[in-house]
Amino acid sequence: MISDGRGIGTKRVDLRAEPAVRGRAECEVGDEELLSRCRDGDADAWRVLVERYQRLVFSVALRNGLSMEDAADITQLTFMALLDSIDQVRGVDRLGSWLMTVARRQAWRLRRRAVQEQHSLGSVPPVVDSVEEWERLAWLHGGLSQLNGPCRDLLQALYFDPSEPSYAEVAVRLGRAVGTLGSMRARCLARLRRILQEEDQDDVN
Amino acid sequence: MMSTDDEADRGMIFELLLDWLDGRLPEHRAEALEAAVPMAQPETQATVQWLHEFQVLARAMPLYEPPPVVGQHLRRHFRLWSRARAALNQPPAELTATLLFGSRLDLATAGVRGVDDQEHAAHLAYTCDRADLVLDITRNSDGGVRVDGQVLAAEDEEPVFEAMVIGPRGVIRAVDGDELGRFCLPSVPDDATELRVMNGDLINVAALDLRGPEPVV
Repeated sequence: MISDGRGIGTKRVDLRAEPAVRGRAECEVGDEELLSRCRDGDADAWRVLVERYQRLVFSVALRNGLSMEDAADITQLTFMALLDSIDQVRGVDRLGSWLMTVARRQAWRLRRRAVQEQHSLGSVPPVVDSVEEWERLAWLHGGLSQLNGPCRDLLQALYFDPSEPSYAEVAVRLGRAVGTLGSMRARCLARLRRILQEEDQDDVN
Repeated sequence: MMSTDDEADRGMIFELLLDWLDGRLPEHRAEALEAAVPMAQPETQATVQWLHEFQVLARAMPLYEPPPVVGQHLRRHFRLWSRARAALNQPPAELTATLLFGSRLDLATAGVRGVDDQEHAAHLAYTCDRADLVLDITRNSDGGVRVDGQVLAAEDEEPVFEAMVIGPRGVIRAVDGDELGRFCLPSVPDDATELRVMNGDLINVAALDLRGPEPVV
């Protein structure tokens, strides 16, 4: 279950709220609730879910040596696989790592087909992750997907955005005062650490 | 149990260490911290190690924005998916088709000799809200009839239909149609009373009357 305490049974946020407040409201909705609404055919919930994870999925495909076009295709295939499995992914509390695994498998499949058909894919060679390296990445992104929306958005903007935006740019993007970002960043990272430590503890048990 | 003060201290230390690793401390404070950390408590060293690993992993895979068309395609795919999913959970709509045109009736009314002149075929056209149905009916030498039909469905309907002829004792024949909605029942007894065409979403029911001394010819 979602560990941030905003899973099924809690107050539902209206995703179709006024645009001015929609940005804030959307990121407050947990993955489990979004998946549940997708099962009911809620297109807004699907849009939020895709916007939340499309960068992660696309980047996994790029990391596996695909061109932009092929990585875009893999991103679509991965989300379509999520729809195909949407009744089986109930209770998934690490949607990020689930999507990463599917995207990586799809990318491998595409690369294998390219080798068999003897045509080149991207110009960038794939990053060869060891099992341990990949597991650490999936572990981290699985933890991130359990954070609440504002924390996840902030950490992704500060640490995962390849354009390396300044604090001022991030503050504008997230609609927050720049002076609050430093302490919020520390609180969010501390929360992420607790989530990941609890998971490590569960794995040990 | 940890006091609130302890927690606050830990929070401040965590933020200080993070500022240091993020390169956000003035040079003199960064140097002082760098010298102090190797001699710090194990807990502090573990925090530094964890933060360092987080930064390494974050840098290892930056998150790139896919082209906007990806989101657009996925929104479209979701619309189709949810429509199909909703249809799966609903029984098909059963609609009764109304006879619009029957060549035997219309020709007789108009005083024309009849379908004998048209290679022993009768033409029937039915309609309902979601599809039209046209049939060509020809008398076979064995006394039965051949039914060639086509369902002309609305654009958003699945075009492939199954056609089923019903008689007094139940289903007589059933065939699958093609992608243009066409189907053929080569031999149907003339006591058939009903034709049903169905595609999973829609059942279109048309009444048949193939009997009589010269049923359709």
